[in-house]
Amino acid sequence: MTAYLTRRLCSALAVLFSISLISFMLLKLSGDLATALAGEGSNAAYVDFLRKEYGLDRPLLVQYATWLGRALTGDLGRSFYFGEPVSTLFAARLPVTLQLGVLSIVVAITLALPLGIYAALKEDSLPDRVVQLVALSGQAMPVFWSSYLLILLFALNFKLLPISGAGSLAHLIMPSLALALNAMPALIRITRSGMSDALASDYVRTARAKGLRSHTVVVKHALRNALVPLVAIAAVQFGLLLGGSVVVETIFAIDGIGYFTWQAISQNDYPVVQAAVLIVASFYVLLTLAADLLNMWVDPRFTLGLAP
Amino acid sequence: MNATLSLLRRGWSGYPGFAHTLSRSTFFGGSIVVAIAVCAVLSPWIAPFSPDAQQLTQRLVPPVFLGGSLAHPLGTDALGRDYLSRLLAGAKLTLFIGLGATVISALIGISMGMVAGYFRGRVETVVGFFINVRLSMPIMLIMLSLVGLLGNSTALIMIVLSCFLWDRFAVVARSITLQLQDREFVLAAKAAGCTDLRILIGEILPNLARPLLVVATLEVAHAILLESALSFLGLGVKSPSVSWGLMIAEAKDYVFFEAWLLNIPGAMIFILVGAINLFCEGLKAGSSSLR
Repeated sequence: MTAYLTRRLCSALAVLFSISLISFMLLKLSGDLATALAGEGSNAAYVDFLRKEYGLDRPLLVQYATWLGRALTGDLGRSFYFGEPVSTLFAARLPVTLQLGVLSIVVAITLALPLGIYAALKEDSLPDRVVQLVALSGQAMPVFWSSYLLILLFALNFKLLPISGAGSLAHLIMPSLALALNAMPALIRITRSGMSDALASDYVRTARAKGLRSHTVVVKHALRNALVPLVAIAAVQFGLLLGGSVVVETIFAIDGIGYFTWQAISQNDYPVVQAAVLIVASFYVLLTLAADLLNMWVDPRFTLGLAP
Repeated sequence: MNATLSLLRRGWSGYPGFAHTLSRSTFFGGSIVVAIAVCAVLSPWIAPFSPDAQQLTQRLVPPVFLGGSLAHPLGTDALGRDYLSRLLAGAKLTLFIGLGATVISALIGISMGMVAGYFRGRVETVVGFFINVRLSMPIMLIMLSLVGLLGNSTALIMIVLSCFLWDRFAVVARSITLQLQDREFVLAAKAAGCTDLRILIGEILPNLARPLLVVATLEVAHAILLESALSFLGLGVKSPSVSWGLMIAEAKDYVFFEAWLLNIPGAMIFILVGAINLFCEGLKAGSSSLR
């Protein structure tokens, strides 16, 4: 188990390192920063001054090492556009996106879990087909269309929910529904297949043979085992939600990291873009690591050295 | 020698045909996709107007089912361009980008996966690492910034998309190559002195076709969704080209007044992606290796 743990941690670190390299290269790809910073038509002396000021005259490797060293201590540079430290700008916007992500994944799980269990219990019947159709539609639904459909329905027709902004919980209902619809299909599928595997297993047959009530068998014996893969997939989906909330945040005018990054891209504010890529990727790596560790903790085969 | 040859041949005959697994959902999903594709290809001839032709006197005409006329069956947009014609032209570019991105990412992913599964050891570790890195990258953010940096020509969008869609190809190609390694027809080919390249392309690749077709259909759907999201955010297809995502982006300013402008292309993306997924479900049900 220790060997697996070490290997898993090393690979997470290596992945993070590569991502940092990629996000550093993003900034370099954008061309000569000094010229871009100085603006069009500025004189050569000023460009040179900026180049020295930002350390852009030094070798790439040195620049990368400096940038990485600073990033590790929480200093992600200054935004070209706002002139403020990038870390402060992100710290102000991360909570909204996290709230949105947590709310969406909670909505997605509360919808997907009963649907998946029900489908597994009624395998290959009409209700199962209907649930699969729901999953299929969720997968095919472009987030921007579902967002507008929700706006048209709940904000314009019924006048129940506010159209945009992020002041209260009511503001986050529609965006998180739209995102949840996207995360749901994977969760439904994993619940259904986990449940149908568990229901066909020996321990469930034993439990049934002992004469336990069907309800007890489903909840206590089958569901607990079906939940393990669900947690892993939910962690992955949560990571994807953080990066994928750009569209939803743009439509609902939520000033989270997605919307902020999208703005930064149109303003060529590359320290911000760089930091966004790094932050979201780190979240994803940490989430998948946590999911793996959880799996390890729950599944005794890991401690016995039977699993990979 | 004869025994070797017959073993070599067996590798081919193990490959299942398509006809007997063509289920109802494959057929239903497939026919919608084919119908849309045929309309897209024929769009220059069947579209009633040019997708760019503006008639400023005929702006925002509603579609037939909302009280419009048959002159513009799906109405006109804010610049008086015929919506049906734009939808048809958009279908062409949407499908073209989806297919193109999938073909490129298939080339990347399949070669990486096959090499990993065939040579194992270090090669496999490296490929596995690449897959991990790719999975940890926030697709939307990196894609947006790449397109923002490098400009948004159709070819570039296709290439950027394919940088992010190869992972599933690699995973599936690797695992099946691993399974096939010790099969008789591969051993026979090795014994007959075939080169690694000949074995990979001639013996293993044909056996990958079916499961990889499933992955490919999934990725076409994925690519279409990503392209439309990019275009929606203004960093994808740009006017005068038309894609369904771009049509939604142009319609979003009118969403509170003329919601159909947004709902028609939105529904088309939904139907197309849904049909592709349905087709894929049917294929998956027929191939046991992906269950």
